[in-house]
Amino acid sequence: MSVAVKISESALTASESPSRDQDKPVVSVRSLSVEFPRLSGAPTVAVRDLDLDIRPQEVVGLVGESGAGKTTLARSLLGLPPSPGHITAGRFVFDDKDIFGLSAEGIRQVRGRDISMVVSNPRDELNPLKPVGEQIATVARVHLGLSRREARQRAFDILKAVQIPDPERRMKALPHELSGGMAQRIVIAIALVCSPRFIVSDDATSGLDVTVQAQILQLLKELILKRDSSLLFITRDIGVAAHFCDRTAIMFKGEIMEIGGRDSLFLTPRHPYTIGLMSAFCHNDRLRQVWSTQNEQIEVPAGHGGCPYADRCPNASQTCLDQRPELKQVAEGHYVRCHYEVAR
Amino acid sequence: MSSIRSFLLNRLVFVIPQLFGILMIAFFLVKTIPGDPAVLMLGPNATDASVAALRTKLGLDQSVVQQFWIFVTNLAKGDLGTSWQTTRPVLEDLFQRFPATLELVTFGLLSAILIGIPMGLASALKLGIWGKISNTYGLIVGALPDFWLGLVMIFVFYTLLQWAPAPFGRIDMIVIPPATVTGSMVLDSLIAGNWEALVSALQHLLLPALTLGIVASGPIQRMTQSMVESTLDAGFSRYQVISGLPTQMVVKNALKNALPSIITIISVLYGYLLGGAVLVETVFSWGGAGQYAVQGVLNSDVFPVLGFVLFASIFSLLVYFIVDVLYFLIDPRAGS
Amino acid sequence: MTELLSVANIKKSFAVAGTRKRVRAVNDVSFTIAPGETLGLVGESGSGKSTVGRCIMGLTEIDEGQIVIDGDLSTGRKDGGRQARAKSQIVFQEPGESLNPRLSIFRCIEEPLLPVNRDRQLRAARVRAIAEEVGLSDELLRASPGDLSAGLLQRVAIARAMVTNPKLLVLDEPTSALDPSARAEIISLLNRLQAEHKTAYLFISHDLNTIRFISDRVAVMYLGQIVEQGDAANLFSTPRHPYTSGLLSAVLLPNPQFVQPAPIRLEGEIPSPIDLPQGCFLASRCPLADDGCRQKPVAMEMPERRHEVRCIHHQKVADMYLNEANSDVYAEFQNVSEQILSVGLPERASARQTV
Repeated sequence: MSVAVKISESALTASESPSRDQDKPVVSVRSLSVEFPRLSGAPTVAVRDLDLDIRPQEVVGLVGESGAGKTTLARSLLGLPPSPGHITAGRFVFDDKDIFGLSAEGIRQVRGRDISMVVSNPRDELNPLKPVGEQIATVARVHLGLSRREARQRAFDILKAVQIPDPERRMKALPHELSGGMAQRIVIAIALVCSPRFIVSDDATSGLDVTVQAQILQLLKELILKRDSSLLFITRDIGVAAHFCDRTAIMFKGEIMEIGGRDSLFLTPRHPYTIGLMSAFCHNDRLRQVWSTQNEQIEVPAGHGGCPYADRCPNASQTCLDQRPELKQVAEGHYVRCHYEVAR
Repeated sequence: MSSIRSFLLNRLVFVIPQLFGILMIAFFLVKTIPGDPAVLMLGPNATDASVAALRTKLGLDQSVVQQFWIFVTNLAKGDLGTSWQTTRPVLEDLFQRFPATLELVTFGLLSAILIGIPMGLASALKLGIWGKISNTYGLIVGALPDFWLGLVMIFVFYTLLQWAPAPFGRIDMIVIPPATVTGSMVLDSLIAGNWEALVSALQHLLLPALTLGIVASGPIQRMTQSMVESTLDAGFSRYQVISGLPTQMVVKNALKNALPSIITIISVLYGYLLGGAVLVETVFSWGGAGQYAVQGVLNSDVFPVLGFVLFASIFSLLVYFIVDVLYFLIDPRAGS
Repeated sequence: MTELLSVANIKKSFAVAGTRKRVRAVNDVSFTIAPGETLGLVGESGSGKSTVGRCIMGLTEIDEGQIVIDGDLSTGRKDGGRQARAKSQIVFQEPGESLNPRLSIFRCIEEPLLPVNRDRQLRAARVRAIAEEVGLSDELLRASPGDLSAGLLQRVAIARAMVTNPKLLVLDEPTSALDPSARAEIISLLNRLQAEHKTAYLFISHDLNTIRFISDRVAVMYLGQIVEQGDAANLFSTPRHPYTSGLLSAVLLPNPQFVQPAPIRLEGEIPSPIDLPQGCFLASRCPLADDGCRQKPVAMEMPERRHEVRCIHHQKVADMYLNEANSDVYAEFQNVSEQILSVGLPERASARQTV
C-alpha cells in the first residue's frame, strides 16, 4: 500500500500548491435533485439539493451505504439517471459547459469522450461476443473520428497504459477469458481511451480481491495525474476513501452530510453519521450503538422535512425535525450538515 | 476449428438412431389408423379369397413388428415401398413433390422472418404506435389456425378482391411450366429465363406462403422482442450507452447478441411449418408432399406417410445441423 | 480429543468440462477447531476456501482425507456422515438466495427442525426463542423473505442455522454483501451467540478486517493450500508468509495515518488452479522466491507455538515485521479510533453504558 499512498501524497501537494488555472473546478454541480415517481404519494428523492466541486487532478470520494443515492448521482452526471428517475432541479457545469442544457445528441457526444464512467462487475459490462480490443477501439472511433486502424492503435496504447500484460494477445480476448482484475482494467481502458477530463468510478473495486484492488487504485491514480483528469470515486468502503481520495463526501439518503479533506474528515469527523460509520468499521459495538441506533428519545414522524439522520441520531432534538440543516463550514474545506455537530 | 469438426461429427453419430426412433414411432402410429388397404385397393366387389391373397402379398398377415422389420430392411436398400394410389415407388413420388413443399415452406419462413424481426424490434424499442401494433400483432397471430387463415386469405384476395389467382396449383394452367432443375417453380423459371412463368409462379406462391408466414411470424416477433429487450437491459448495453455510443450501434449489437435465440426459434419453426404445410397445401391444392401424405392417411396408404415423415425428419435434422454451425459462427465462445 | 472439528489432509478437484484437465480446488488442507472457537479462513477468490466449507458440510464429496465433527466421521458412509453433519450448519453469502421466497420467515427458520422435532408446539417455541435471540420481532416472523433488507435476511439465515443448536457453524462470506453498519451488527450478533451457546465458527471471508475482528485463530489459504495459520493477533502483527504479508499490506484502514507496513509486494494475480506449480505455489509472484522454492513442494513448519507456515523464508518475513516500530497496526488503530470517535459522546451514551 505504501506505493499507492506515496502517489496520493504527491497528488495532495499538487492540489495544495495549484496554479491559478488548477484551482478552478472542472466539475461544478449545483442544487442537483433527482426524483423517482411512485405509484401513489410524493416521489422518492434519491438525490437532494446536492452541491459538489472537483478540481483538476483531484480525487473526491463519495461514501455511503446502499440506498444513499450514489449510483443515481453518478449516472445523473452523465445525463442518464436510472429509470424511472429524472433530474428535477440543478445545474452541472463541466468545463464551462452546462451539461444538462445540452441536447440528447450533444450529451451523448460528451459521454465517453469528456466524461466517462468506470463501473463495477466489469465482466457483465462488456459485450460477451466481441473481442475487448474492438470494444475499446469502437469508443475511440465513435468519439474521436479515428479510422479503424488508428482506433486499434489507440486501443493498443491504452491497454499498455493500464498495464495489461501481452496487450497484442489481449486485444483479441473475449471478456469471459479474462479474470475479474483483468476485466476491470479493460473497463478502465474504455473509460480512459478518449482521455476524458472527468471520470466517475462507481464502486469499481468492490468486487476485487485486496491485492488486485491495490494495483487498480494505484493505476487509476497515476493515470488521473498524468492526464490531468478529475475523479469522483464512489465506494462503500471508507477505508479505501481514507487512503485514496484527496477529499471525501459522506452521503446519506441523497444528501451530503459531511465533506472534507482527508485528514480533517477522518481524524476529526463531526457528523454523528460519519462517526457511526467509522465505529461500524472498527467493530466498536459500544460506540456504534451510541452513534447510530434507533433514537428512542424523540418521536420522529415519517415525512418530516428536517434532517434525514434524525431517527438514528443520538443528538437529535425537535429542531432537527423542523429544520433541514444547511452545510456549514467547520474547518478549512470541511463542511457538515448538522445542527449539533461534534465540537473539536 | 477442430472443435467445431469434432462437435459436428458427434452430432452425426446420433442422426441414424434418431431417424430410426422417429420412423418406429411413426410406423406404429400409422398402423393404428383403421382401414384395410387390401379392401380399399380391390374395391367393393372383391372376393374374400382375393383380399386374403393380396394381404399375404403385401405382408399384412404378419405381425406389426415383422412388418416394421421388413420396412426397415427395404429402406436400407433404398426402397421406401410403393404407393397403391399412384402405383409408383414412394421415393420417386417424393422426389417429385417434396421440392414444391420446400419452396412453400421456405418462402413462408422468409416472409415470417421479414415480418417478425422488424416487428419484434419495434416493440422492443417501444417505437410509439408501431411498438403497440407489433405487440398486439404478436399476441394475436400466434393463435390463428393456419388452414383457417388460408381460407380467409382466399376469400378476401381471390373471391372478393380478385387480386390473387385461383387457389389451384403452383402455376397458371395456360402457362407452360419451366423445365425442372431444382424443383422450385420460382427458381426454375428464373433459370429458364421464363418471365411469364416466374410472375405466375410468384402469384400462386404469394397467398399460401403468406399464410404460413403470418402464422410463424408471431413466435419470431415475440422471441425478438423479449431477447432484444433483455439484451438492451443487460449491463453491457447500458455501458455502451454510458460510453456514448450512438443508439443505432447499441441496438445493432443487442440484436447481434439476441440472434442465437432468434435463430433457434426460426429453426424450430422451419420443422413446424413443414407440418403446417400439410393442411395449407390441401387448402391451396398445392400438389406437394404434404398433400400427398394427407391423401395417404385418408386412404390407408402407409408408405407415402412414412416416406413423408422420413423426408421431413431428415430435413429438420439438417436444419438443426446448420443452426449448430451458425452458433459457432456467431458466438466465438461456443466450443472453447 | 478436545477438538470439535478436525479436518485432515483433504483434497478435492473438479473436472473441467470437455477436457481431461482438473481444477485442483483443495490441495491437502488440515486444521482443527476447538469447541466455542472461531477460526477465520481467509483467501482471495479462487483460493478454495468456500470449497473447504462445503466439504465440511458434506455438500461436496471430498476425494481424499478425513473430516471428523465431534467424534463422528463425516466422510465415507452416507449415514455416518449425516450424524456428523447434524451437529453443523452453514450460512451463505446471499441469504436471499438460500431462503425459500414462498415461505414465511417463521417457516424458513422452522424448516431444519422438521426432521428432528415432531411436536409442533415445541418447534414453535424453539423458533420464537431463537428469533428473539437474533432480534427478530413476531411481526417479522409473519413476513416473507422478499420484504426484508439484506441485514435482516442474514439474521434470519443465522436463526435458521442456530435453531437446531449446532456445535459448529460454517459462515461462508456472511457479511460480504452487507453495508458496513449491517455488517457490524451481524458480527456483534455472532459474537453474542457464541458467548452464550459456545458454538464454534468457521468464518470464511476475503475481508481481512472482519476476519481480524471476529477470529481467535486465522488460516490463510492460497491455491487450495493453507499457507499460514496462527492466533489472529500474532498472525496479523507478525505474519511469516509472504502471501499473508502481501494481503495485509493491501488492507486500508479508515484513518489516513495508519499505513500498513508493506515489506513485500506481490506481482500479478492468483494463477489458474489447473496447472499447479511443482514447488511453492506463490513462487511466480513472490519477490523472495529462489530456486529452492521452485524445485520441491514446501512443507508446513511450526516456528513458534500455535503458528504454522508453509515457507522456507518465513524467518526473513518475520524479521521484516519485527523491525517495524509498531507492527500491531490493528490494536493501535482501534485505540486511536476509540479516542477519535468518543469525542462529543452524547449524554445518552454514558447513561446507556451504566444500564
